[in-house]
Amino acid sequence: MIYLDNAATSFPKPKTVSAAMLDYLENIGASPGRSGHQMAAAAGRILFQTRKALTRLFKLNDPGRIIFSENATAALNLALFGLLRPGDRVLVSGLEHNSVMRPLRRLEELRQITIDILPGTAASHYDLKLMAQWCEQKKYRLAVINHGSNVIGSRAPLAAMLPLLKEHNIISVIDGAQSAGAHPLNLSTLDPDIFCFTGHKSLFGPPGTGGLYIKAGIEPQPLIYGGTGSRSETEFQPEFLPDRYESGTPNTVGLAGLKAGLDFIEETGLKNIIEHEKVLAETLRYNLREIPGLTLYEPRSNDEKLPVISFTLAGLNCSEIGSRLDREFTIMTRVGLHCAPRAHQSIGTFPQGTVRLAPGYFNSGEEMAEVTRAISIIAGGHND
Amino acid sequence: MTDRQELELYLIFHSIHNVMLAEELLLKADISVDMVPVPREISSDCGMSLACCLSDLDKIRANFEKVAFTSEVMIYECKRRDNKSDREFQLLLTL
Repeated sequence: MIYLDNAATSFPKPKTVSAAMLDYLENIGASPGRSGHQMAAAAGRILFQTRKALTRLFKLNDPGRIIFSENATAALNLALFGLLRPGDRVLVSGLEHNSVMRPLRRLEELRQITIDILPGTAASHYDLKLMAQWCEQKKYRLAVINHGSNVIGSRAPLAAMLPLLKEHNIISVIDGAQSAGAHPLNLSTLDPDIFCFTGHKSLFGPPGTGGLYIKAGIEPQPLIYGGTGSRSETEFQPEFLPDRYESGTPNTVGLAGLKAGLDFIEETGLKNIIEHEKVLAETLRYNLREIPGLTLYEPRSNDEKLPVISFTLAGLNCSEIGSRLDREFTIMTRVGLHCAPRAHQSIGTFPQGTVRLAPGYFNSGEEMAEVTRAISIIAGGHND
Repeated sequence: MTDRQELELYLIFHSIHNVMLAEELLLKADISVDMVPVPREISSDCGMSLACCLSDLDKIRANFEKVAFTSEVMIYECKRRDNKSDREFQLLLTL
């Protein structure tokens, strides 16, 4: 079996992830921040240490500004519903996921916001010249940038885009679902206002983990109100972080797993993980270009890449290709629109979609050769 | 761990996150701390606090000030009457 659906969720996880989750369930178990006993303190330490590990990974200073949520979608919803006001104008990239577009479309109905979608150029999916013009001319309140495309693996040039937004006092919200753990990030230097991430992709955590970093001075209204274990004497939501945005019993078992995933990254070395994935993705891209009838959808010449690859085969629909890869070759891919119709419109593959290959750290070069062979057979090029 | 009888200072924070942050800071500075439930006499809250020795008060204060600890810290002294179960808490300072 070859799992190439790491852009949906990474598999397998390091063994230490399930071990940490089992340890929490069997030996710790308590609710963090809710009681004064030592089991509750041990649970509280899991959250604290996970926040610290994320702070180290993202090169931030204050772990209290890392807010946990169940996934990047929930984090993006908090940012967008919590910040956008009636009549606001929003800029988004052309590669956004529905985790951004659906909240924005709902806000278009609810709060009459206006959405501008940044097109690309022949050399890049991000037209920076036009972006500079629009930022100058249009009164944007907020911009959302998909940092890593879950369809074609292009990486947005944040170092060029964020200063533009800052210069015009536009709140920056970064969707880092695909980039956190797949690319070295220095959020202190990049200085976004909000960075949303998920735990279950390149951070090796379990599903149900994720969150966002909120810069000091940015204050979205909470989406969820309730018990935090703090300030129990008042019926009003606390103003301080992280409690303001973390009501209800947290997913401590999931966060124990995420902490183990982050430890795995620290022990293995982010650089080594990225390098391995890059070699696998480049091998695949190189091999796939040689297959007759195959169209590869790639980041454009000026864009950086993440290990996410999309292709189509002439004369075959992508669900048929995905199904044959699964049934005949036990190769797990994801076909269709990948919850990102906007991105598929931008690359010209809407509504039929593509077949997506997303190698991860636990894949090997031999597996990439097998995948190439399988796709060649399906394309009718080779039968060896 | 320090003898519980010597722990006369109680450090109160707004959230468990800051309790953990402060515990780490003080332990790094070789100050004895014990994470204990917030005394009911101080707050109706259900969280944790840090118990420390009165003799470490100046060191504790200096360490919070040195790192410009962003969250409010309330420091209480616990005074025991002859009857050990009868305690009184006095707010010494807020940082």
